Amino acid sequence: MALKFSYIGSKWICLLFYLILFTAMVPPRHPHLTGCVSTNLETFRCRWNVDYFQNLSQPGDLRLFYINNKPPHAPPKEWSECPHYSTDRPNECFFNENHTTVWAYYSVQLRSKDLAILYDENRFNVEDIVQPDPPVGLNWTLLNMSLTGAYYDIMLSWKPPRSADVEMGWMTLQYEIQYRSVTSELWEVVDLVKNTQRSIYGLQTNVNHEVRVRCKMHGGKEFGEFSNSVFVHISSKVSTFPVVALFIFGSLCLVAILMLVVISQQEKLMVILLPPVPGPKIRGIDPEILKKGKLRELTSILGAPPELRPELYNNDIEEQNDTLTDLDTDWLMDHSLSSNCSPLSVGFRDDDSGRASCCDPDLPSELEVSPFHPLTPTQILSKEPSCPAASEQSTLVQGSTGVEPLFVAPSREALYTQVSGVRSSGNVLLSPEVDKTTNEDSEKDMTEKEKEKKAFQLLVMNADDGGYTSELNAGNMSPRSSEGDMSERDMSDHSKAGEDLSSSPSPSPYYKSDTSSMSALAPVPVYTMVEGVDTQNSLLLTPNSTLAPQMINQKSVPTPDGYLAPDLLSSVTL
Amino acid sequence: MWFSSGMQRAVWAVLLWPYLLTLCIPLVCKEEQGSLTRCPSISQEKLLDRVIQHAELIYRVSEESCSLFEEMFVPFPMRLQRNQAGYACITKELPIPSSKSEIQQMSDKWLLHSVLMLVRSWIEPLVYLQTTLDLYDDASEVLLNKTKWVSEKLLSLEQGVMVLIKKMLDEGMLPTTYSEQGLLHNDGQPEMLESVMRDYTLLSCFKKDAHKMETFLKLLKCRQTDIYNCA
Repeated sequence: MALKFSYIGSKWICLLFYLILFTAMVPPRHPHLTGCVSTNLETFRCRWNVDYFQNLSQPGDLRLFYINNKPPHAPPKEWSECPHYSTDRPNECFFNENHTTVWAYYSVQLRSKDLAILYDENRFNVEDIVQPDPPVGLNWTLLNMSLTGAYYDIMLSWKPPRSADVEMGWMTLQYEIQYRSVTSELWEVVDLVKNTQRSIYGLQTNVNHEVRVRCKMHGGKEFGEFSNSVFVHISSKVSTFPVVALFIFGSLCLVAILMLVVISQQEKLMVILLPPVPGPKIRGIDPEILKKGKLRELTSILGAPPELRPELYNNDIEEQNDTLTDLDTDWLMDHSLSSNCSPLSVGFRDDDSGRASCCDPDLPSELEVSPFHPLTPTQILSKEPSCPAASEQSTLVQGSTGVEPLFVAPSREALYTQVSGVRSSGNVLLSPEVDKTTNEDSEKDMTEKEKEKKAFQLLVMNADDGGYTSELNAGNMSPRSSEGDMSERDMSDHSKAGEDLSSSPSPSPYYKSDTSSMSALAPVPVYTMVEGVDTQNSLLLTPNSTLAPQMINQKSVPTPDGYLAPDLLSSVTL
Repeated sequence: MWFSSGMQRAVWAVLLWPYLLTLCIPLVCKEEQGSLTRCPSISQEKLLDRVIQHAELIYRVSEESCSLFEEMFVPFPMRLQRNQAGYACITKELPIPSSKSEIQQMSDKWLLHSVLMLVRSWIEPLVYLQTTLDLYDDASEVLLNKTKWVSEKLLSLEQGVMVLIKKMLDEGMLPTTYSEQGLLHNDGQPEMLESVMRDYTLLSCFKKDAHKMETFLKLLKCRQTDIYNCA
């Protein structure tokens, strides 16, 4: 234990000893040149320092020699001694204009009195050792003040040092400004400028600022000394109202107002931001089919040949182009002419119809001018009966082979009836005649038999321009009692509307024959138009509410299920 | 119809006269140091200003290049040993005064001619310097770009000074009487340090001469504007 301590102790002692020895052995620094400096590129001075050799501080103890533009290894005789040892301060040699060659290469040596010892030497070009004097005449003027009175800008100006010959262009100076608030230790440095003025922005009021400037030669390395500092102080009455708090309050108010606006206009905004998604819709197909997933019907519709598919109507109101796929199951709504509309057409409503309600008074007029629809003889479209308010319309279904479009007769009361079904004979049963089907059937059968050999004709009501009295020649088709139906309907139209049917003459012969069979149709029949039959032998009724009279495409051959076969249909031409 | 053809010609002449004018009168120089044939229309003061700007820039860039080179390649102890024996500045033979008082006694003609002499004597060495700098392995892009820029600007400075001589002194085109000092031959493959020191000397000498050029031109300008203060 004791041995250990002694070992450590000896170690420390050795260390201390070496330390003392080391410091003692360091020789005192010999005299050395501290630097040669020129202030104006015309003169320069060299200074040296004696640290510990105080006995050499007498003038003349150390001598300075220089040589100009010659290598320093030249023999001593070529060296010149300092032209002037400064009197105002010791250890300095001053080279005046006569001894200064600007673009020359100087070598300077510091030697002892007897020239034996060379203490130090230095080599330089005069233009490299330039450190200009500090600028003079630094002062400031107020530029402007901020609105709140908390900050201000000043313009500093100064003059170049007198020693530097700037006017002649002998020296080009660059200035650097530094400023700080007296409380802080860090100086803000402004970029170099060549002019003798510079602005400082954003100084705080009620704070004491200190500004100083120094310069260097353009292209030089070192700066000169700093000028005397100038103190800038502006006091102002800054309102104690905290501006930050005001801003926060203002922004909060704005946010609150915005929230109020959003909440009050929530619905409108929701509509704008999140528009309602339209339901599934394929034009011409009942959306109910799409929704309820009746794929069979859907595929049958979509898989139909193009000519049997429901046409896309140009009528922008007529967005309810639905096909009546199954007459047994789909029913046309019974709409009275004068009754209030009730949007009851099940399955035919179009959600994105764009109308506020179906009781749009403009509808009939629009429907009146609805464009023509090309119709093929095999197509019978059922249109959704809309609610005609007052005006009438008559849509003429044309039986020709799709050349002439569907024609709407103006000034015709829209009359609808409800197709209650299709009989096995192929007749389309309309709702007023439901009660009398049996009677009528017999009647109509009689008429049918009477006119067996007559060509079946579809009645077309002409509009003003006439010419649409096209007749459907079924050929083998026997006229059905649906003729009578039609005629009945026509008569009812007559009776109800009391208006001239523009093309009344043409169907008149048919009316006559069946006038007797006309019975008063109690309610106002609402008609639709059967426009065609699709591949699945279902009647396609036009959803348009403007049909009177409707045309019924009848089969010539009664099929068991009461549908027209497509091949039969094709033979039916208008 | 002679009348119509005459009218046609008249019309053409009327339409084309601006173009004729522009052919006769050359456009104002956009570039300060354009060739003599292109830009005779710039004013003397403006030209002198631009020449001085050029010289200032050249001096500054040369100073930066010298510092860069010193930092990169010159070992610290050797930094002050420029202008050692054998590496004297190439232009020291030129009779150019180097104290302010002497320079103030120089005439305008002398100043301009000295500048031209200096510029011309440095064109070739700078090109040589570029090639040697490319040989260095790790010469930075900045240094190479600077030296390249300087040698380009030196050429335009030469042109500008020639135009200035023509304007100010009404002399004609000066032939290149100053023989270019072809002292920079690459004899064999010098040692690395030697070549470094040589290039270092070259750069520092060029810096010095650039400063000379700038000072001469500034003195010239001072005399143009205010002859009394400039002595």
